[in-house]
Amino acid sequence: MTKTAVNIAGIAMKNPVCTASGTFGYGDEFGKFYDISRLGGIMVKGVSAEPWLGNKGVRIAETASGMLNSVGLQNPGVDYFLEHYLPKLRKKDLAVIVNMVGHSVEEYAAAVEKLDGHEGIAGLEVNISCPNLKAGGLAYGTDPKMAAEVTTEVRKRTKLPVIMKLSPNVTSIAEIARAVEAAGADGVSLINTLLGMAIDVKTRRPILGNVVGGLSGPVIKPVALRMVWQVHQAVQIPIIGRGGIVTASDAIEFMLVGATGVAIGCGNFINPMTAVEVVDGIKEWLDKEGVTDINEIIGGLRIG
Amino acid sequence: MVLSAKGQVLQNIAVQTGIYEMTISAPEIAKSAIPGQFVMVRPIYRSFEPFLNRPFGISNINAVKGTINILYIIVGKGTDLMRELREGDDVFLIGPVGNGFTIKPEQKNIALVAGGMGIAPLLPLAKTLREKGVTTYGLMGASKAAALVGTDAWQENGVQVQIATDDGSVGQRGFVTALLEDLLNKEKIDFIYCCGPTPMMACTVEIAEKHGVPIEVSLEKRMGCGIGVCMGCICKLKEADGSVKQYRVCYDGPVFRGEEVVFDD
Ligand SMILES: Cc1cc2nc3c(=O)[nH]c(=O)nc-3n(C[C@H](O)[C@H](O)[C@H](O)COP(=O)(O)OP(=O)(O)OC[C@H]3O[C@@H](n4cnc5c(N)ncnc54)[C@H](O)[C@@H]3O)c2cc1C
Ligand SMILES: Cc1cc2nc3c(=O)[nH]c(=O)nc-3n(C[C@H](O)[C@H](O)[C@H](O)COP(=O)(O)O)c2cc1C
Ligand code: FES
Repeated sequence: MTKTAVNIAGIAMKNPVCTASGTFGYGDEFGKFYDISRLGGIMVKGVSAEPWLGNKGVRIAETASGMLNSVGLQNPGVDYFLEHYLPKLRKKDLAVIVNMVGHSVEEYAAAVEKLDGHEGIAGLEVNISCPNLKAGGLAYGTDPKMAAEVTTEVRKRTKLPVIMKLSPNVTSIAEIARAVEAAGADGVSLINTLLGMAIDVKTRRPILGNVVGGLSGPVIKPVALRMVWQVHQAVQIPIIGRGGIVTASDAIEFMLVGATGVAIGCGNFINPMTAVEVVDGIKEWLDKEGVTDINEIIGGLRIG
Repeated sequence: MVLSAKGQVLQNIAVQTGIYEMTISAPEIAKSAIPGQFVMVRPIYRSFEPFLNRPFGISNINAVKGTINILYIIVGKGTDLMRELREGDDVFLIGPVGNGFTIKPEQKNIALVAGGMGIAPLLPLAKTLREKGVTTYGLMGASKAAALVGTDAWQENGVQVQIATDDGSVGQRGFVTALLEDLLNKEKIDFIYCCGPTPMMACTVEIAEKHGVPIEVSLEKRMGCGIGVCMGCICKLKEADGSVKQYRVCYDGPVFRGEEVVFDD
């Protein structure tokens, strides 16, 4: 029997495949396509202490091999999540990782305090790609000090595994990863979307209502692989890798550069079966390669 | 039941300049689809380019033959690829997506109001209404005669068709909403179904409200997923308590009560 189970910062998963925040809702909708218990884990749509309405105008633009979104983290808030979605997720056999956001350290703190202590939450994934309104809108994840500050504040309010979700819009992703590791993070998740734009030449206007948005999909995979590889060399804590995964081969590439877990993002949009096809495909690959334990391939990149 | 399925192209023909009709064999989807629902289409099965699936209203449902049709106008990359498809080609489909039109037994006189390609979801609806034996008026607005589609199929289903074109090349010159005003002044209509460009739908809802006729509209938004998870296709609805709430066009719609929709963009 091939062993596909992994343990990420104390979160046990029967396979390394999760669904990325914002691309899978809270699990409800995908129940129509397959039993989500087939997945290793779910990172739910980012929740904030209070509900957020998100951005105005057009929120989606297609790009070459990917897409831009300016959804703006619309979400019903932690309380609604706990009341309406967590009870259903609890009945499923998969790790429920709650992605959370805030506009200030106080908002992050308020969100953790509400989330802590609820049965059925396997860990927290902290999105630090959103702007710090007190620092002129600079994203927390683009500054090692600010990233560490959020990590510390979340860390001291919960015993749950804390996974910091890193922003790729930085010069040195390794520096940010080291900063959150030192501040007590149990793991890192990367990458979030890359800041981008799309223009309509007919109207000479941006396509997105918010002007700029986050780029995701196969177009970002090479950048994401490079970043996971750099972070793997920089820190000891486990990595959940993502960015453009649409096939099992993509997922295996992330594990080879050092990811313990992987997440499917907008690959869920283009084919609702992507995540389970990746689960099956990884298993097939391991069997074909004669690998008996998936943990053997983590960071197994052959160089030189 | 929403499915992701492989469909096979049976026919793909031009019905007007730049407008095509595709017949697709997709038995599972054809079995469960109702008028007003749509499908997400990926023209090249299993490819990752273009990246997103495209939404199209289902323009004909044939449960017996296991086929659905889509009626589409060429606008960009995706529809350009769709035009190239030939008999026997595979397409990737997610569907039927969304909630269709609601049909109530007490409705006896119905108006369908279409603008351009907005006629697509109103074609299977006409077929269903005919089976119910109601009187149906079909008001169609198009830019010009050469952009007119679907009205023959309406006629075949017993719909009393009236046309308005911007240039007067066929039917009455002007907007389809003027036809609606006239109809509502002459006939007692008890329900309106509408699909078309947003400003046209906003105007149609206004007229319907003025005459006190309930109306359903089918909205259009850019879509990332079509299955309710990306939050890309948000519209706003007025709640009973006066507040405004956000809904997903793909999952909570695309059909909504016209009176509830906030047409602000
Ligand atoms: C619920 C729904 C039903 C629809 N039904 C029909 C129909 O029956 N017949 C028909 O001809 N068209 C219909 N449309 C519009 C159709 O989806 C677009 O014309 C099509 O997506 C354009 O794709 P493209 O690749 O050719 O254009 P591109 O401009 O290359 O597309 C780029 C991106 O923008 C999106 N996009 C562009 N125009 C639109 C638009 N008007 N609405 C939504 N997304 C758009 C595309 O899906 C794609 O993601 C419908 C749209 C919705 C939301
Ligand atoms: C529509 C959309 C919404 C997203 N929402 C969130 C979110 O709420 N929180 C978050 O941390 N990441 C969010 N992301 C980022 C994804 O979780 C993921 O990190 C990114 O899309 C890269 O992976 P992919 O290329 O596989 O999509 C979102 C992405 C998309 C496309
Ligand atoms: S298109 Fe993704 S939620 Fe509607």
